[in-house]
Amino acid sequence: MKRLVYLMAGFFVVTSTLSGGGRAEVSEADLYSIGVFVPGVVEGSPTYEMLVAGVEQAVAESDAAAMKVVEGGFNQALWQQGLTSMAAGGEYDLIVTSNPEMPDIVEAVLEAFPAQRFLLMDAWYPGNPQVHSVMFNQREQAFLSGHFAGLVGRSGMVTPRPALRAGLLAGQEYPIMNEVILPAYLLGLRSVDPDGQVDFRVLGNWFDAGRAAELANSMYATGSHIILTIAGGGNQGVISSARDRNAYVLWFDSPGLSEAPGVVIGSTYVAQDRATYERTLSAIRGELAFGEAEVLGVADGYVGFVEDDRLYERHVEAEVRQAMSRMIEQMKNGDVYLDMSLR
Amino acid sequence: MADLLLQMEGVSKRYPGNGVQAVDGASLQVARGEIRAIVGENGAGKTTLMHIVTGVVGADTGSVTVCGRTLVTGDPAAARAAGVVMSYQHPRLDRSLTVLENLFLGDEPRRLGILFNRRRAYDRIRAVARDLPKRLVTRPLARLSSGQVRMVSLVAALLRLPTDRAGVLILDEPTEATTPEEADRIFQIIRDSAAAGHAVVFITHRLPEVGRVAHTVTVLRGGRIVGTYAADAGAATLAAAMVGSSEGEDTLHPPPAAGTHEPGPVRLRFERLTIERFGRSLVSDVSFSVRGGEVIGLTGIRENGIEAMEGLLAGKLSHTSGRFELDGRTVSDPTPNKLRSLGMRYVPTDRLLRGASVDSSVSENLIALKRRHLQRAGLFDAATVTDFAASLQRRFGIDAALNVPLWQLSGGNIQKVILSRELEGDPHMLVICEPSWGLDFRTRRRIISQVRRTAQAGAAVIVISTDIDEVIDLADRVLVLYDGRIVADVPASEASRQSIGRAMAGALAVGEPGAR
Amino acid sequence: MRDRLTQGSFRSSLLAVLAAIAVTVILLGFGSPSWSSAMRAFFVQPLTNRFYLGNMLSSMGYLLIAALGIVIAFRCGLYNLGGEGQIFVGALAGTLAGLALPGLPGIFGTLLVLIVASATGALLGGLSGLFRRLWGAPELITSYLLSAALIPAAEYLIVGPANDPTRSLLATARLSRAYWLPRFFAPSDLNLSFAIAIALAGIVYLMMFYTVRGYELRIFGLNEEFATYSGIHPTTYTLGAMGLSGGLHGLTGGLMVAGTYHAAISGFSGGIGWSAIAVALVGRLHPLGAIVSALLFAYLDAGTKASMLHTEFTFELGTVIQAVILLLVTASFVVSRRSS
Repeated sequence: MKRLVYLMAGFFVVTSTLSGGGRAEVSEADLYSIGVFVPGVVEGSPTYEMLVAGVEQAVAESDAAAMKVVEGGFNQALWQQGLTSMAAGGEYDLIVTSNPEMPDIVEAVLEAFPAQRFLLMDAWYPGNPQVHSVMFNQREQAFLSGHFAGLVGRSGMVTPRPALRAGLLAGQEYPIMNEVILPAYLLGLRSVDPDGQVDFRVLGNWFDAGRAAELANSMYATGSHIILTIAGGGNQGVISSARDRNAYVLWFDSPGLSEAPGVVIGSTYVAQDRATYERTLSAIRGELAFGEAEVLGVADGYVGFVEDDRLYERHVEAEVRQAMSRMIEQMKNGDVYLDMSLR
Repeated sequence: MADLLLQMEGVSKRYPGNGVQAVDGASLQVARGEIRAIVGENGAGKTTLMHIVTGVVGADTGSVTVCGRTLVTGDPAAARAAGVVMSYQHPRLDRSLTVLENLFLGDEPRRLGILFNRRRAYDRIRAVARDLPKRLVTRPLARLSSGQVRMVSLVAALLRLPTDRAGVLILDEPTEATTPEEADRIFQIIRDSAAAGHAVVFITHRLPEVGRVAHTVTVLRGGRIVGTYAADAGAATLAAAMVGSSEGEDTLHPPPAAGTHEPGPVRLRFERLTIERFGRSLVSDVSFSVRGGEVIGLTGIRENGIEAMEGLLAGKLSHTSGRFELDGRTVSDPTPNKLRSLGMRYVPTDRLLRGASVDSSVSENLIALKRRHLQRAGLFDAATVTDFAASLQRRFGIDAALNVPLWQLSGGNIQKVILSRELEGDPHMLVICEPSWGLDFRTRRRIISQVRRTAQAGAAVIVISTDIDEVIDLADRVLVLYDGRIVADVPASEASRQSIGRAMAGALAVGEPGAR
Repeated sequence: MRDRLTQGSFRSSLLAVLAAIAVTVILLGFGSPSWSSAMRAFFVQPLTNRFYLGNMLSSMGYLLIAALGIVIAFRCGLYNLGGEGQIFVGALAGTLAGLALPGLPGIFGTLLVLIVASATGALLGGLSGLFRRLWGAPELITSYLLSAALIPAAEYLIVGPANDPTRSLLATARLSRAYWLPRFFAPSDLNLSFAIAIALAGIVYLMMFYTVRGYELRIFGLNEEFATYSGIHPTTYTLGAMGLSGGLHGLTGGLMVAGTYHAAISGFSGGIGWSAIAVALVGRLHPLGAIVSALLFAYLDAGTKASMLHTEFTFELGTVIQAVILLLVTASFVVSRRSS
């Protein structure tokens, strides 16, 4: 028993001495401290990779800021706790995060820590003086995807068929997916083939590539020539399925043609990195308009379709490319506009 | 001199766990073609001795030579290679497989490497057991009677005997759980094996059988070989050798010091009791009664019926026919609860498994039966519990603190704990099994006097024990079971070690005192 | 025949935990550039910050109740490996009940959720006990299988039919606010569950060591044969103990929903059912020991989370630490088994 007591005492002595050291660096009171909360894991998720890249760029450029990335993991139940922990420390001047669910969680966090400021990407949260949110016009983004899917379906790249079927694989169902992305995708498809159908499947999570491959197999087997995949880590499964069947994949949110040349033939992008970089920089400079919620679309230059890529030129027929170009022009000019429904 | 296939020289084995000297300096020789029977009481060391031959158990001293090859003991593979084959008392077969599959498990004759060669299998069976019916061979083992299972076990052993040279076939209780016809068939197989040149050694506790098939008999007692006799030596001689004479005394024991007293009412009664399991009778047509104040001793070889009687009285087995009455009430389906509620108390043979909870404290073991009466307002009343336990401790001389776990106690103290728990409250009926097994002399005497006192207080006591001395010492009357029947019923004052021993071995001559 | 789980030395439990901490300390060195700040984040932060401290106690409470369920089952000789499912499915059932009747007065609503959750867990546990009595099916396997089968079913419900479409989270709708358990250590999650947990530990302790039923349960677990001979009914305890164990797990799930999450969120149980087994074992299957053990585990868990936030700890490294802790703790039992 005595040995035990000594052991424990020794242990605590050691820990406290070591802990007493604390931070070796000089106080960083002058640096603008930014915390990036990733609801999930950075690796393998285009959205989050761009988020982190954007903040990094802003921090590097400003020279008066520091950042820390915190991964929240896949257990959604723990996100609120994770975000609250970040706010609880009081060490971040700004917390940047991205996810349509975040407004609810941020609201709860602000109840406990009303002084914390947030930059929310990919979310809609107007009117709160602690929050600046940026929403991308995903209706346009999905429409472009659908339009491309239709064009490809009617081109020489795909065996002719009476009615087009395009697949859409989502990690999970959420309001934006059901109310914005899916209808717009269908609309885009029908802009080419009025009888077009969308085969919509839900993976149930953001990481299971194996199951995603199974679902993709099923979709391709039932007539889809292309699948728009929005499933985080599951995207890789869709790619492997497409490879086996000589079918196609549409990428979402970030340029993905190089993920699988010849398989991923189209990619919409959302300039999440640029938007994040710009807003973060503004925040560091004290110029960010908190309390506002922005919507950024094709015309603003933040949503687009990757055209300027050799892989795109090589693997997609000229006619398709030209037709896409025309559509994009029209959207840029404002001739075609899709209203992003706001909550 | 005929070819000696098995030679054992000065073999000894002591089990370190409980310090028991199972075999002590045993030497024997068995020749080619000889059929040797090994006899002895329960615990004499017969099975251990044979396990040493088969290599399952390693000997401490001595040598074992098979077919001229001296074996390193404790190496089953070496023994097997030398040609030693054993068929066990409790057959080690798989009930879910058919007989055929069991016989050739691990050693299947094959065709093209993967297909089971049935014809060769049947040929091999026929070569060792001519009249094993074919329809039996394809049946799943679970559907065979215990006698048929015994037969299969025997054939399995025969199949493993070497075919090109002589081997040693060892059988442990080959005719246990068999009908007389099945036993005959087994004997024929034994004779055929010996005729083929193998040496056959079989352990049995049925002396009458010895004369029918064996050539010679070796008697073991207390781990020592008493002697080897010709098979026609007669049951009396053999039984005497098995049992020995105790401490060189005369053969009569003085009656119990308690003197005579008026026997009380009949507490237990058995009428034509029969217990059958899997088609064979463990107990047949047993009738006796026990009165308050009487101590009845039940003895015999365990497998010959007293194990089953203990099972019945413990509430584990139920009888197939006949009557079992407690205090005049017929008990048709005995369960532990029912028997206890009718006032019966029980001290089991297996103390650590059935009699106590070794991980619990002494106190917790003592209160097991009284637990409901030691409460106050739904919780145990610590003071009452301690008082109760301490009083038992004093009364029975338990030499240990109340709160230590039971496994720390000596065997004697454990038995005292169990006894005190069961005797508390002066029960009407007590069944106590192997009361002083494994205990030192003083504790033995103490327990014996405790049991006697319980009887004097008016309880009806049944003592079930394979220890003849203990039974004679404790009981007023001694009943001996052989082959499930009562073969002797003597007052203890007239019982002698030899006569009881003979009765246990089924060798009581008609007309001997107490014979039935 | 010596019972290892309860009678092994207290020392071996402690050694296991200390070994786990030592490994953690080493891993912290690998995982982050500033070892001292990592150590501080891991060991000190959870105790100094109100938020962390409160959350730590909150998860301690949940662990404790589930661990009590394990204590009861294991002490009865029954291996309930279905805890995770009993928690999760119980929680979902309770949530659905609460959502089905949203207009009740607060206390009744909360009780509804908790009772339905506990009953569901008890049903799952009791089923395993029943299978054992009827068919001799080992409860170790049936309890695990039942859970393994029902967890995906529950997940399907949460992600599909029971999903709340107005939110982007993989979860059911939230319970009415009136049903939420009161919190008393804002901004942390600490709520009434903690008090309930401590109270339950005391009750289980009393029951186990001071009542006839508890005595019978323990004896039954130590030596079933002897217990039967002493008149203890196998059916009562096989079903009863498994049912009670399942019920406590279900209660844990219900409390997690009513107290912290307020909805059934996909995967929210996060392995707490398994951690509870380790907690119970380290606590030597003693209700009071479980309190200390739960505190320890919650502390280590909080430390892991804090390190992830304040150092360069990645999410994966955090899970590695938790796995190492669990491994070392269970290994201590294998070692003591051999050396005896």
